[in-house]
Amino acid sequence: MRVPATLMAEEPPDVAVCLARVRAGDDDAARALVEHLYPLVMKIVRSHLPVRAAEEDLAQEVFVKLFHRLEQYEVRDGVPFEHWVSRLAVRTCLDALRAERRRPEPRHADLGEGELAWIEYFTGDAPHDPAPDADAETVREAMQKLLATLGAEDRLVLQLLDLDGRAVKDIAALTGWSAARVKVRAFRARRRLRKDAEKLRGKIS
Amino acid sequence: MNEFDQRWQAGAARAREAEPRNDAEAPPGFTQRVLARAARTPRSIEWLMESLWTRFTLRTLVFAAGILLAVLAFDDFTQANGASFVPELEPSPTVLPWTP
Repeated sequence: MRVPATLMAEEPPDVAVCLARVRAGDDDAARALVEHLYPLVMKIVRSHLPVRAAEEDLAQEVFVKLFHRLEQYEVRDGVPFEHWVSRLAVRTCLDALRAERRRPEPRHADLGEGELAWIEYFTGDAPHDPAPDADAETVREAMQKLLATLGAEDRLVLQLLDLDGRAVKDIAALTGWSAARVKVRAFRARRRLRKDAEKLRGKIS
Repeated sequence: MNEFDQRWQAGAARAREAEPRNDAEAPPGFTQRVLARAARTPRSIEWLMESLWTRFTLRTLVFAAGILLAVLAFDDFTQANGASFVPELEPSPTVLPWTP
């Protein structure tokens, strides 16, 4: 079957046409859909990856679920397809985080100099302590290592709210939680994070 | 906001400045691996339950609500007419064989 130009990876595919073809068993359309959604799925997977999981495995799992559940997506519901996919990806990552039996604490040897400085800064109590001079990527790494000590839901909510800078309303839509639940979860998660960070500082300093 | 929260938010603001990694294209073979895995992975029970739930919940709810309304209406009607399905006890004289 010949695939129309709109389904090729170079141009954004017409999602409705593409979905209809995928449902009809068109492999070319399925390939175009994976190529189109790959950046979106990888961005989510990378943000919520369990410590010992491989990002490609988790991304594949998201796409497998997507193809299996495609019949559940209805264009007439008014939810953009990309949003439906984001929600599916977030829920898949949440399941993977829940399945993580042990959450390994970062050891001194796992942390770079800049990361150590930021963890010490977070837990410091001297007023007007200057923030360490480190690039944004290092700060992000340090924060993600701290977040990895939390439970699945706590980690997810702080990643979305603080590191990704998403609005509470968006997080509620992505997770299926109420806005109040998102706020309460974030508040409690920060309290746990503070305890974890202090404990970690005691071990590494 | 306590000291930790303030510093955490300062860190988050800095972390958000990090350049996102460029994932414009899937690595070679990724799409083929996904399609092969999707073809050989059986649909899970969870998927089946979700599918049934999505498909039947609304219809079932409408149907159940219809039955409930019909029962309520019928009950109202019978109450108003004083009718009842419970047979009334008739004060019929009981004649026992050994009664003279």
